[in-house]
Amino acid sequence: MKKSLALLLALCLVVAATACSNSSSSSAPASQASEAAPASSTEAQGSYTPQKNITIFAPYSAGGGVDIWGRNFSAMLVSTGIVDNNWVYENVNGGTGQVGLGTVVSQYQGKDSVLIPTATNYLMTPYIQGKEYSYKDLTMVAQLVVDYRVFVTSAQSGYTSMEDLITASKDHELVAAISGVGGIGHIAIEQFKSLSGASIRSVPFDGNEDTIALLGNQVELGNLALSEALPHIQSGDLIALAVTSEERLPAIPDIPTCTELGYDITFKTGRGVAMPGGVSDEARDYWIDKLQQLVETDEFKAYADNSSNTIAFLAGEDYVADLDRDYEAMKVIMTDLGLAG
Amino acid sequence: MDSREKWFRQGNYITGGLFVALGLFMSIYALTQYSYMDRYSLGPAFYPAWIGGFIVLLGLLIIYQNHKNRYLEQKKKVPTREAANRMALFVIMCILFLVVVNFLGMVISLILFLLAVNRMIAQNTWKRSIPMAVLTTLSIYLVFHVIFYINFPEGFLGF
Amino acid sequence: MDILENLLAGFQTIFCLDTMIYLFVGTFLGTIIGALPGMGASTGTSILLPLTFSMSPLNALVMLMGVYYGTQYGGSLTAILINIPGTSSSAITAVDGYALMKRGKGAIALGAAQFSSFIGGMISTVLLTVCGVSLARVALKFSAPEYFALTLMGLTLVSGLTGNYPAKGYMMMLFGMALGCVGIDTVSGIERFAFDSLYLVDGFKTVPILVGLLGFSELLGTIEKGPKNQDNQGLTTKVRVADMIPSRRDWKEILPSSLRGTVIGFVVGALPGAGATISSVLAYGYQKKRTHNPDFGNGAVDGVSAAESSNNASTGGAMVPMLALGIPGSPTTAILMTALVMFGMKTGPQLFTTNGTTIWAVIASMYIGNVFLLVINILMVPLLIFILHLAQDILTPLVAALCIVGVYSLYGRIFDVGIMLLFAVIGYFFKKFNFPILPLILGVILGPTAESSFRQAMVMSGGSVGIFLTRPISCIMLLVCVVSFFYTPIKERLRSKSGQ
Repeated sequence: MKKSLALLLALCLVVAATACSNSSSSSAPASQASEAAPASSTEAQGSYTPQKNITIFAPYSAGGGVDIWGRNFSAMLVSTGIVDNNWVYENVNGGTGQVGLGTVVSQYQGKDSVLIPTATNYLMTPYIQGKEYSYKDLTMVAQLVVDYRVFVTSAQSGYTSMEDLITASKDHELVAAISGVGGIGHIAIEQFKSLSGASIRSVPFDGNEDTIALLGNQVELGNLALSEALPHIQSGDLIALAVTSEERLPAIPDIPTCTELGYDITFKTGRGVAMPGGVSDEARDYWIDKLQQLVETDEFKAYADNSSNTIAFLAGEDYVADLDRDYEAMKVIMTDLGLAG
Repeated sequence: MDSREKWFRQGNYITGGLFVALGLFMSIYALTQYSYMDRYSLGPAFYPAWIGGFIVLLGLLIIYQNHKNRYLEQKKKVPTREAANRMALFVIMCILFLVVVNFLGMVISLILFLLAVNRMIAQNTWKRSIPMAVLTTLSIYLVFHVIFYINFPEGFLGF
Repeated sequence: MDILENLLAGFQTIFCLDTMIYLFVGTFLGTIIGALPGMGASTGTSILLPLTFSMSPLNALVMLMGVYYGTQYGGSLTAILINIPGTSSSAITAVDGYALMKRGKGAIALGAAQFSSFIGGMISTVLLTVCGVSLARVALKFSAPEYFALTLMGLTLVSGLTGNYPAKGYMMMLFGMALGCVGIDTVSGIERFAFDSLYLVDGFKTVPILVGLLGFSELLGTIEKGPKNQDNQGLTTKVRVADMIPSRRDWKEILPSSLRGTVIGFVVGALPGAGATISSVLAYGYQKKRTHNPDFGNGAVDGVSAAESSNNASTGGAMVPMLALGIPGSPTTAILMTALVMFGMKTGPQLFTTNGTTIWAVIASMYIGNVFLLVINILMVPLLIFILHLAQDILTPLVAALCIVGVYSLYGRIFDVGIMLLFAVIGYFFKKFNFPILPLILGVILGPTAESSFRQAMVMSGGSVGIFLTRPISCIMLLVCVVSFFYTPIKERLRSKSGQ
């Protein structure tokens, strides 16, 4: 009896300890940048020289899109000779970037030896849903590329344009595929629904299952990132209906923009770089300058081309303003959808 | 019924009871917090509610079958007090490791953990324990951190 | 024949020293990563990815692929020797494999695992070569209703695994399914049972649970027996390399089960969204129906071979959507595709036309890689045995340390280590009070997909349940479920009737 009690007690302790270690590890791993001398920018007045070792902090686990973006841009900064820093990669995963952002706010505030790869969705969506952290907690350095969204349908569906779909929707409710409730694709489709009056129901999928459903003609409509959809559009398996960019995209010049068709849908995923909040303007401007040089290199242009991203450099304040615009628009739609927290 | 059987029976009761509690909690929480049906499909409450419900039913069945001594031929060996203490001690060491790792860092915590387990659980001599703890930790550091670039929790010492 | 020409050209391309070296490095690393608890192919490949920037595309791809299918070989080593599944797909291998180990038959379990892995790996590569592209199109016909039917097929297996106490068996399955309820619900987007914890929001991850239930709880059992117990001593000395070669009688069990496992593994692996773990579950379950071995579930060689052949075959299958259509079906294939993009290759159906030589070379390397792996793994066994033997007294702390670090390295969260510990204690008590672990594992693995695919299917149909029956594939699979669920009890009933 006593032994079982002892073990049961141990069980309770484990549960308690796990719960406790959560709160202590959410202010989790200290950065390796703390090893080197803190070259805080309050030291020098006008100039900022970064440390040799810079941490690339991704609020996602190794291997995901954000992490790979971080590894890519940092690798290219060195390979093009723009900088010669050593990169130290750190990943803190969880809660769609919230755990990572929380770590930045609690551990790295003001540290100018940390760069953070950014992607629009984690910068604002969880915040709109009522979570704590967003891009407002960071110092935005620059946006480098954008990945526009494209409305697609399967080649086997028989539809060839948005009008076809709208006509069909008078007949039956359209079935659309989305990746993640509250994601950019979902928001784009919802906006299309409200602007066009078409009746659509969205099947929520995970990850890239929406692309798979589209390819198999299991659904009639989808909204994908251009980088993901382009190979299939070019191979003829998917038909592009409209893009969310302001102007037609060179990769698919025959496809109209949503605005042309009369729908003001301009969502996109921007990829950029940020630093922790509280960092000096000099530090930020230093990296703005370096990143600007990067987007002008041939190597980066080839990379953007290969991954079907469009170069759209926005520095500092402009980046923040653009994010603010997207934030306001998304907030409205998500509130309508009942997703806002 | 000998003490072994008694212990076994008690264990089945407790497990059954815990399951019933879990099932009740799941069903009630799900039904009160989430929607049962959505517009086209089952809502987020449907699955947990039913799973919880079945868990309650089966839990009661297990308790009943246990009461009828249906399980007795399955009984296993009861741990001795010494064994139970050893296991509890091990679990406590693991918990301490979890608590301390963010403070002292993976390397130091692991060395301390290994020393403790070596000495108190495996009852090895200091001669065996210290090299083992240090070498194992360093090899792990080498393989996971240096070769595979996994970041470990760092303590105030920075590693 | 076009395919043969391309393949031969591929072989020619890779027969140079540096590519072979990278292939070896990749497969070797894959074995180690697979054997280590926690860390899996996706972590390994993503970490190696930036290092491949400077390599030639061919070498990089050959190496990364080697890591990928190598992990399915290595996972069985630790699963059988110390009941620690190195990958979640080896959890099923551990069930019969470790049972065999405990009965002193570890050698044959290991041998069966390696050879059936080889069979699975080689045959699936042949299938990939020959019918990969056409299979890809068929795989697209699978959507939510079919995935539901698939997972249901896996869950109906439990009916055969409950032994004499079905209440306990089904309870464990339900418990496993209950664990899957924690976290973000795909279909509605809301968080369930998260209680505002940023850790629970992502749900309980499978690997920490499996490592805790199987391996770490086994550690507790060893600790219970005490530091000077002789059991383990005997176990490891009984494993000799010579014994690993299966006897004629063993082959009678291994070969058919491996072939079945391979087909199941390849087909399931080709379905985007179903991977090594689900294929090993289904292959194991099917083998259970066909086996003549009374020990199935408690140490049957064909259980090991069914599971291992299918998890290896599934990597070959996973290549199908990736290469033929440009769709990554799993996190690891997503990373491999990123590598392709990085090297400027156009993914999608044009891959074979624009980068045909490289791709065929990579496929050719898979054949050679499997041979490397068979040799590497067979040689690893005596090495591991030696280490285990040498480390008798320090085995407990060593294994504990590896599990902790391995599980941590998955997602970088100490929380997962806590979960592992929790399930180790829970697993210990379950074993003591005779609650079967396998149904729990099945529930954990299959539960979440079963729920979300059912609900997705209903949204697709607009609220009608009929969609499962109007679609031919899911209809057939559901019929199979019903039949297999009632098969064993009806068979028993008929047999006892005719026996009178």
